Amino acid sequence: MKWLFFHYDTFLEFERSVTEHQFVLRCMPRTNDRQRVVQAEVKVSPAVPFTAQEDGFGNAVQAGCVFFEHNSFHYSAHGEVFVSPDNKDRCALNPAFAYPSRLTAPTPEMAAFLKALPLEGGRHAVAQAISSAVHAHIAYSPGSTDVHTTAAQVFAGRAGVCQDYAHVFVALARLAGIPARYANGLVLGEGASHAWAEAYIDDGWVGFDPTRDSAVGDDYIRFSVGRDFDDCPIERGVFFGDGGQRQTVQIKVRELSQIDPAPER
Amino acid sequence: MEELIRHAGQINQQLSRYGVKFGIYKNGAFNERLFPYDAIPRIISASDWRDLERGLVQRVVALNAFLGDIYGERKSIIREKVVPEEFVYLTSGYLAPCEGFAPAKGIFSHISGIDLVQDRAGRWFVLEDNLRVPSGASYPLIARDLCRRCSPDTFRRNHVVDNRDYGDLLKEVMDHVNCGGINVILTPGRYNAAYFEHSLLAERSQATLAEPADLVVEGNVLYYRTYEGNTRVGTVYRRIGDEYMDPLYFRQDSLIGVPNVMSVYRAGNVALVNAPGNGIGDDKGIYYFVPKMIRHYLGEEPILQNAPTYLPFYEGDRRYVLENIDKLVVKDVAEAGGYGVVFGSALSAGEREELKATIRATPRRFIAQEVIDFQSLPLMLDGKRVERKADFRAYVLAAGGVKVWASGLTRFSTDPVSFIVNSSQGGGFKDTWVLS
Repeated sequence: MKWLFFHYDTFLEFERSVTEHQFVLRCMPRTNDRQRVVQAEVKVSPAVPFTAQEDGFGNAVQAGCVFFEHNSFHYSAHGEVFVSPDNKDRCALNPAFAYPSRLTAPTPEMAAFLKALPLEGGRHAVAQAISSAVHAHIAYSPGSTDVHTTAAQVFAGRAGVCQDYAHVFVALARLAGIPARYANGLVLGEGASHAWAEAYIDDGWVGFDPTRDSAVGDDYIRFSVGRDFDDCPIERGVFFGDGGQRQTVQIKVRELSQIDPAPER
Repeated sequence: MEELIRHAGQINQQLSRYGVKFGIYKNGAFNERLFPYDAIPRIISASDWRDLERGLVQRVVALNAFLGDIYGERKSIIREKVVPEEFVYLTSGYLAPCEGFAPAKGIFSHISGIDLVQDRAGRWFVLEDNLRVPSGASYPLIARDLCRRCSPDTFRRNHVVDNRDYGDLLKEVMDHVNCGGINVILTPGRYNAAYFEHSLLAERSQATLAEPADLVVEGNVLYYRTYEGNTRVGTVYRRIGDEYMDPLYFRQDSLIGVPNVMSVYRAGNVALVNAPGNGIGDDKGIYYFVPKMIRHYLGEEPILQNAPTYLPFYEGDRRYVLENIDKLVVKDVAEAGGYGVVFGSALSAGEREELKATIRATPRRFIAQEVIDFQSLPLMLDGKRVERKADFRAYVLAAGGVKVWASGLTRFSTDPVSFIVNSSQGGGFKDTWVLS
């Protein structure tokens, strides 16, 4: 069990001022089986009111609007989360996660790739093998893809970033008959937000990180989940204005103190 | 009747003056054309109508239960394997942002357009359910108005149920789910093919006609903008597609949406009529399961029959379809508006084999139906009385109770051999008289 403090900051700077800027944010972790949020807060600047609600997959959503002219938009989330080393989020399965979505539609080449893998054992072993195979297949290459890149494109191009690894994992796991979903959030020791994947095994979701080819442990804070990135982006906005924009992200994740798992009774 | 036929030219002239048009995409180009009116009405007897009404209400109640079941937690129809889950989640109509949300009063399909045909024996068969934005109610509404003006005696002599209540029914639907504020009909704008209908319905239902730029979200409330200030909106009868409703939740390139309206909707601060996500209920593949839904949710036998339909997804059906393809009509479930419909009999031997191979490779993509020899109706074409295939769209409105509008849209094909009467494919319309 880890007690983590996180601070997530994004600065958007607009080349020319914009108005009527409607936004939707998903940068607030929610309590579930593997993480308990003890305190967390979202702030936006310019300071405008926003609402907190839930989206279709239970993610926390903040929605609001900056009506007046502004040249920059800053949003941040910070808080403390207890994360369990037990890598499982127990809940009922929404069958939507068993089927391809727009960004995770499989190709015949991906099906052939899956067929050639030595997949043995139960769902956990199969998902683990897929995670390792995806890690080996794709080269980590920032700038080679963008948020619209599909799993099929990444699979063919063999280069991408964490979002792409997660999409390919999700597509292949579903092809193998394992419901899977996209997850994003923060990881202790990483300076950027991170994306990984979860596979539904027995009675809950188990995290896999194909980018790092590692298990999802108590150093991962989850913001949101979806069938793919499109279901749960950290930020999405529309506004009136015609200039370009620049985005800067700052992330701090710090361990507050070592906590032992609760002693067995 | 003779009097109506005499006035037909005049009425068509009036219709074109009012801008009663239909837009169609053909070969990649958008064309707007008049939707020709034929003066000889379809006449439905009072007893026939009573049966039809009962069947339609039952069907729409079951479809609403289905939508609530799928987007809610239970998903009983999937868990009990009445509907295979891929038929829900592989349709483009499934919308994740609608998960886990029950709209006001639990109504998803407020205005349903159910398309039917009658066989030669007079039995009704449902061909298609339209639970998203079924259009066309304005055609019989305006045609009846004009007929009444040209020939008031016709309606004095014949006991035809008055259809002028559509606006009131629509208002009732909007009022029933209103979350506080005015009723608005949202049109993409005056260049939309159905703009005439949007403006007519707004006038008849006393709603405000709004274009996307007239609506704005502030403080998780939807407002209609005016020069005097903002007015709160409680119901939006939106005449734009789900995917275009909100660029923050759906298609990001949509310029006709209202950003953050989905946040307001999910907070319960505005009703969207019809609910987004209804596409899982009127998908061509899901159609096959509607009789099963009626049994599952209502424990009743369906009053109205589907056209005999086969699902190549099931092995037995697939075998039948492949063996009998020359007498079946095959529909691609992803297409709408009469597109992707193939009559096996019209294919060459080579094309038939090609289609069979496609069905074998992707069986879930298709449904196949027996060709119903459906009734032709008389109509006047170039001064001569001829018979042409016609279908019927009934409008079913869900407010406190579920009601069927005692009128509807009868569409006919002008092509003597065509069975496709969808207005996207050419053809015209008639008034529909329900006798009292």
